[in-house]
Amino acid sequence: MTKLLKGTITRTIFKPDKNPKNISDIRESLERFAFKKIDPMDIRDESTGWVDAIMSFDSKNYSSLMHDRFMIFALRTDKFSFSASQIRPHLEEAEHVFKIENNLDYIAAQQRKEIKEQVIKKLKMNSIPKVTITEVAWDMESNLVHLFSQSSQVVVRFTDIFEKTFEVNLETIELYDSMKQIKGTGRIEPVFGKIWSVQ
Amino acid sequence: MKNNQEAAYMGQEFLLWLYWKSCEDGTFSLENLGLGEINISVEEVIDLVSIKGDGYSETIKSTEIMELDSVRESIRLGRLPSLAKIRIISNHLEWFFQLKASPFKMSSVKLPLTGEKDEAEMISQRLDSLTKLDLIMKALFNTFMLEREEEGFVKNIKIFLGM
Repeated sequence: MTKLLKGTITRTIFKPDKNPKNISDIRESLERFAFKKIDPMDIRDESTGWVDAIMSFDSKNYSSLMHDRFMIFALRTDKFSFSASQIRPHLEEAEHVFKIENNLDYIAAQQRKEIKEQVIKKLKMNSIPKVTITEVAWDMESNLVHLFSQSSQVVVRFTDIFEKTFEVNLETIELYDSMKQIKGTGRIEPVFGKIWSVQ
Repeated sequence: MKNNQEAAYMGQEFLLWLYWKSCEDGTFSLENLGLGEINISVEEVIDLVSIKGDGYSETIKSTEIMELDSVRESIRLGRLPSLAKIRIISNHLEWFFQLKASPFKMSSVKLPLTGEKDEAEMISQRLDSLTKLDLIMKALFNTFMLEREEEGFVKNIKIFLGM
């Protein structure tokens, strides 16, 4: 279930350098970078794009987009991933069969690469991708974007696609940002040194 | 200010300040920001890390963190909070979350119960309470920043710690 409705929340907050013009602009931008299901026969192992925040299968209508002053949507990534130990028995079997069928003692590097690609395709057809869905809430009043994750992988993926989608630059907002306003840009010395001898 | 080292010790100082304030009374008036009176307490978990370079760290788990002499004793020895669980109460609304010094971030935020059955209302209320928490935390951090500039700040921490 979406984090917007239930559960504890962990966020990273961003400030875009531009405000979106209107809701139809946001909708169009989301559609351009909408999530597309990954085909097991596709050479790509991963697909990332926008989906509805409540109905994560929907990447067309975004029916839950507006909530008061917030625009809500989600970033979905489907990824096929197989460890070396998962691939190994299937690869060794395929190579063994290839050698017997072709009466070979040795398989050329290029041929071995092709066999591996075929093995991975078969594994993809017989499995489902790992799905990651991360909610996003864009506050139109403050122009702050709340990403419901602190995972560095998700943050990098999100920043990249969000900046492309809305043609903006994102700046991370931190708890301590107000220090700049209070203290200026000068270095702030820790008070520890006045209490304990600090290494 | 995006200096990680500076942010880390400011995070530790802020956590120490929150612990100090929550041990005293934990009540802040944020009326000037329209946030009313809030109460803050450190609960359940506090991680203490030595700043003396001896590599010492400990995690203290208790339902009565603020009453434990061992926490204050450990801080006296130069072990500062690097993580704590914080409860904030404001106008019958309650937030419970983890605050880490480095990176200086809130996580696992438990939001006030909305009591709403309508999904759309529930989402709006949860998002509102998140932004309210951000305002409270910003106000608390600003209060801390202003207080740490006051002349008696270090002296008062020492008195609190019994040093």
